[in-house]
Amino acid sequence: MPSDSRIETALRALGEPIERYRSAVVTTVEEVRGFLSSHARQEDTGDGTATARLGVFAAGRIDVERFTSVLADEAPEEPERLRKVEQAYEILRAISAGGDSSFHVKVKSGTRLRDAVAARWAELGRGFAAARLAGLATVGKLSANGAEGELEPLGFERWNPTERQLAPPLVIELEGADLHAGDLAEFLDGNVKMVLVVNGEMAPAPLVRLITPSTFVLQTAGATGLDRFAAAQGPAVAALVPASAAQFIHDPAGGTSPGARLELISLPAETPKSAVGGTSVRQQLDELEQLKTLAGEPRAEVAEAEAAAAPAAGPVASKVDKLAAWLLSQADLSNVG
Amino acid sequence: MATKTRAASKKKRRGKAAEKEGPEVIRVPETTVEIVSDSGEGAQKCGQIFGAVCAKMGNGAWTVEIIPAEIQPPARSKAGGSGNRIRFGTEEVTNWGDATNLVVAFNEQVLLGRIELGALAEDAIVLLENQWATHPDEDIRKEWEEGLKELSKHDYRIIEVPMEEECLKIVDDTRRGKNMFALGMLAWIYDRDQELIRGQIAHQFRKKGEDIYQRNVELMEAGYAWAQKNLDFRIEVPTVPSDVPKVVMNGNEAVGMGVIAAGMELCSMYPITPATSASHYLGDVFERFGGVVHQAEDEIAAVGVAIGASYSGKVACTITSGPGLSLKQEFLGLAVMLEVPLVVVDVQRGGPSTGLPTKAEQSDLLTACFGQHGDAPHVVMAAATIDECFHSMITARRIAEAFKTVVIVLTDANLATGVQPFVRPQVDARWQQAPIGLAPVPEDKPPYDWDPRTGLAQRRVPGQPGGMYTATGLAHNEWSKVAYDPDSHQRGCQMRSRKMAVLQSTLKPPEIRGDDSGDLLVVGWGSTRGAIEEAVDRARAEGLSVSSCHITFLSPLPPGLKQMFSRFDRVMTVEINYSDEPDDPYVTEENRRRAQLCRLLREATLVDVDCWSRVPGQPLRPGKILKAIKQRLEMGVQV
Amino acid sequence: MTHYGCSLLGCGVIDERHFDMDDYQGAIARWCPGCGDHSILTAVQRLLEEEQLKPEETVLVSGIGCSSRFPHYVKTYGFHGLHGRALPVAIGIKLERPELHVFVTMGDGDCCSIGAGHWIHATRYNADMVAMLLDNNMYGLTKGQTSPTTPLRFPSNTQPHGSYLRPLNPLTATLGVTNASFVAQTAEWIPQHLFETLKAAYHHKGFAFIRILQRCPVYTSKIYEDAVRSPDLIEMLIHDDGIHIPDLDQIYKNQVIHDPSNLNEAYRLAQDSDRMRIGIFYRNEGLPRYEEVRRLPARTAEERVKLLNEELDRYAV
Repeated sequence: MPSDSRIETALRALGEPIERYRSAVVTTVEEVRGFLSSHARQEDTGDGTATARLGVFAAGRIDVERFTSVLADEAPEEPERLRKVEQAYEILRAISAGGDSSFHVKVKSGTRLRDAVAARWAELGRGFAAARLAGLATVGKLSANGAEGELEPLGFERWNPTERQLAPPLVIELEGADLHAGDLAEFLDGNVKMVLVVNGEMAPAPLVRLITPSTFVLQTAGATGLDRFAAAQGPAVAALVPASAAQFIHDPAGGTSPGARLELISLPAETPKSAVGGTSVRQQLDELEQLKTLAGEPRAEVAEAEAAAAPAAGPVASKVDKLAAWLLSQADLSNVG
Repeated sequence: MATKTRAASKKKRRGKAAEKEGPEVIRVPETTVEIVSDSGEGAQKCGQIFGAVCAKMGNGAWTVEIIPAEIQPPARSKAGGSGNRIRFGTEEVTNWGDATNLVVAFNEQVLLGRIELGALAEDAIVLLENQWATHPDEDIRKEWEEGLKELSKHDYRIIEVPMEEECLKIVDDTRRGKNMFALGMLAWIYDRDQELIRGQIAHQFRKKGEDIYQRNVELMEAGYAWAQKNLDFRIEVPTVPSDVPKVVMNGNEAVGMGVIAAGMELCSMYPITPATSASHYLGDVFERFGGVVHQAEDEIAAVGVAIGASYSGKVACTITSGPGLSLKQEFLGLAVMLEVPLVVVDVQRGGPSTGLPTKAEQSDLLTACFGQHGDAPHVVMAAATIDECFHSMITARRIAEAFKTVVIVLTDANLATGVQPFVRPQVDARWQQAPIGLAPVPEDKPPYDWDPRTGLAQRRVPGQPGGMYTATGLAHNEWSKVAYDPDSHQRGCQMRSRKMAVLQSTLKPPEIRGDDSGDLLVVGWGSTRGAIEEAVDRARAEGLSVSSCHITFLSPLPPGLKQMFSRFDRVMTVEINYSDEPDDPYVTEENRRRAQLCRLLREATLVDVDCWSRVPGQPLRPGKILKAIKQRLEMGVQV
Repeated sequence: MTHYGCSLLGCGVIDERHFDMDDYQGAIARWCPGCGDHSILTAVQRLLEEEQLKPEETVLVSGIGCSSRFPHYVKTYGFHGLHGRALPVAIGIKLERPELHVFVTMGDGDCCSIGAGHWIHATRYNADMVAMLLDNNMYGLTKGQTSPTTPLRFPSNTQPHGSYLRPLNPLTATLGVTNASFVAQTAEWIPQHLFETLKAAYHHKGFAFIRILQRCPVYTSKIYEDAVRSPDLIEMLIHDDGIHIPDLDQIYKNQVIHDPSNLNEAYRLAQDSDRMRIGIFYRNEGLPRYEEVRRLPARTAEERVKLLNEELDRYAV
């Protein structure tokens, strides 16, 4: 598949998270616009905002000055603070106007994946900084000269849990040789969604290193698993890989054991024979071995462990109930995986 | 030559045609054209294209749909006529005028239907499809002969046109095509720009493909060629190309677009004629703007959903007509009581009960003002033109939000289906409401933090920490706590009422058209404006001492009315709702049921305001208003 | 509205508030002593606490009737509107602000009589909310008139010789509506079951309809008296995907294992019978939810101006 159509596939897979993020930004832009229009001093704006808000129909029918004077609008904000909010508004507006390219990162060949991702998120994070400032203003806690007036880029490491939940998703285009999965580990939090579009030769299973109990991890050569990726709750990373790479889905919703969560679609036909980028044959083999181990955990043991760990159904639950619960849990698990 | 002039009085013209000196050109400042067919023959489309082309060429225009009451009325029936009536002129046209000067009819029955309604001028030119004379069905041939006999009683100039025959040369099915042939004839008669017509045909049929477009253009050109060859007259209505960009649409489309321009995001409705087409328009485009048309299970739910949305965020609207307004009244009272902003559009039709669903009337004014039980002060205003259908939405939304109340905007079926070019709105982002901020609220600040002087309080919506309260339709105090004590209810009513006084204090007195004193002041509201002003202008041209004024805000009424009225010997409203005539049997000064605005004005000014009103199921005609004006002037001083 | 409903403005403030039962305490409830509504109120407040729902992001909507006083007694946002019309208002709220938690309380007159049309259509819209029918089989606030759920031949002030019609069955009625996604029945005198049912309804994604059998000590005390005294008259629907409270096994021995995904079986069990069946009759999270179906991309004012100008171009002359 040419990379363009894969980028489209990736953007489609991210459709909902992009919409969610964009929607949050747009809503914020509109809220800040509302704040600015209701907190501006009429005499300061001087551009007929009050007249404009009433519409053309009011001309000759409503005395705008009187109309404005009787309204219980909020007290005007100090000019210095208002100026800061205006700056924040402009930043948010620019982000809201950005198209899909805002969510598309191209990693320059031979550079670090981490740096490219961190830089883009820091830039988009400027929107969070702007929103924080505007948020303070709306609750009347913005100081005129305080440090929270900084509208600098805000790196991922400084995003709070709410912001990480609303993180803008990214499509990351890169050479297989530059795919150091560990570079992404620090970003897998909140509701972060990333799709890697990998060009050229790559190690067979680099993303295995990102598998943790609550992270959705996918390597796919087609579109398999992208629907589940899109629906995943929590952090998720997917790679659109050449058919020569391993293909698998690690879905935290699958169960509590790695075996239940991991679905192996295909393994590479050939074992790795040469280093890819900085990843040695040994590292590649290790990743493949790890993948097989995670996928192949014997199920019977898990079932028993689960059953043993199953909490008693209630303080006075009968033995029959306990037995039934155990039986049901057995049955459930055998259906999974 | 297929043209036969039947009326004996038209000898002169026939003679002229015979001489082949080229057509006689009749030059007029304005004229009215009708095209009428069975339903489904496309006369409406023909009329729409013709109207749009007139507007594009720089004529003022006012287009009214001729609508049968049924979806599929029987063919060739008097009541089944469907089509368009286009009045256009060199200057701006503000109403549908008096009588039609030229009509294209696809059969004699729909034409007779129009004549029975008094639509045609006595000297009208009629272009009449004549296939019926040789129709295989004997009954139809008989009807045709009888129809022509009937027509000959009038002084019309009748020109038989073999439309069917001509169209069959191009298409097999003339039900789709005759309208374009008719359009071509009109294009030649009125010297319309064919390039513009092709453009409009392309616009109308853009979704149907190149073939359909080509065939329609061919038919139009055939009609043009036929007229050129066979007609001996042309009519010139000089155009004045405008340098101001204009748009042309009907009133319901304008309402829909106004809803969008005002930044509203929810239109909650239930299908009702003649309001529904506003929702059709919104249904088509609203989602692109992030807006939803919610089609509710009934009229009551429609307003309930809008109130729920408005209670929790941006101002929502509901669009309805008379019967729907009646059903919504309990909820409207609740919105007033809760001080939830809401925009209601009532596209008025003939009432009471099911009345005249497709016809214009102005009889919802009192129910719009007073339809709720208890004291429920709110705002009622009316749009007078299609342009105002658009712009009133923005102002209504703003007032609803600023005064936390219900704003009812009255339009009517005349505006809803009428098409008029107007100055293209310069869209302003500031027309749109921003979301309500969710800033925390101090716990000691009551939800109805009424300013005792104005009754106004800030809005509060769910999501604001510390601001939790229960909005209730029960009598409540400023904390929204149920309060049955006498003082609390008095206070609540007072605060809600005071807002109306405050709004009224910001209104400007309406302007007077004509002198600001004289023998008679004609007062109107809503869509009658153009017709009233034309009638008053004609009266003034005849030297009569008449002025007019048009009222936009019906509740609260604007200031200065009493003073204004006092400068005229007589004040009379002109309205499309029922009132008793002073000389009707049993009717006395005391028991006379007057027109609706008249009642409001009498109460507000204590001036003995008179009224002249009719409910013809049609817009009022300037000529009839003029007659009423003269009649009232003859009655002498009353005030 | 009908967007995702989230904004970044609150992001900067980390909300570390913890809410106790007291934080959800509104005005003192003024229902009659012994009225079942008290128990329902407590269960709702307990749910709000357990789920730590922010009071400002929770809206209780009601109509008119005894049960509709509910919002006044809970310290969240509330909307105490018109008789029978709670559901349209709730749908409007959900359309405008999908992120809010919406609870609706209705009485049997409210829901099944004057508001019956809205009930059917709200079920079909399947907007995400909890709808509680507080069913005491009688009009209470207006002092004892026959309601649609009043048992046959039970006397009231309007039908003193006994009601003339068989009562309407709210469960089968709801189950019969296209898109019904959650139908449960519980009884206010079994608080644990009431609570668990409410909790399941809250977690259900869609329109969760619960009929709560509710005692009215003044007008219908007799109707539920037997069932309160003898648990034998109650039958519990239990299932792993439904509600099963082992604590209650000893008392309520009549149990039916019922899989809530089985609509036909749900319909069968919901028919009138000698026993009062409580539990989850039907649950289906796979049905479209109205606020999701209608969800749209958000637009800024500027974007709208641009689009509106394009729209005006279409009408330009």
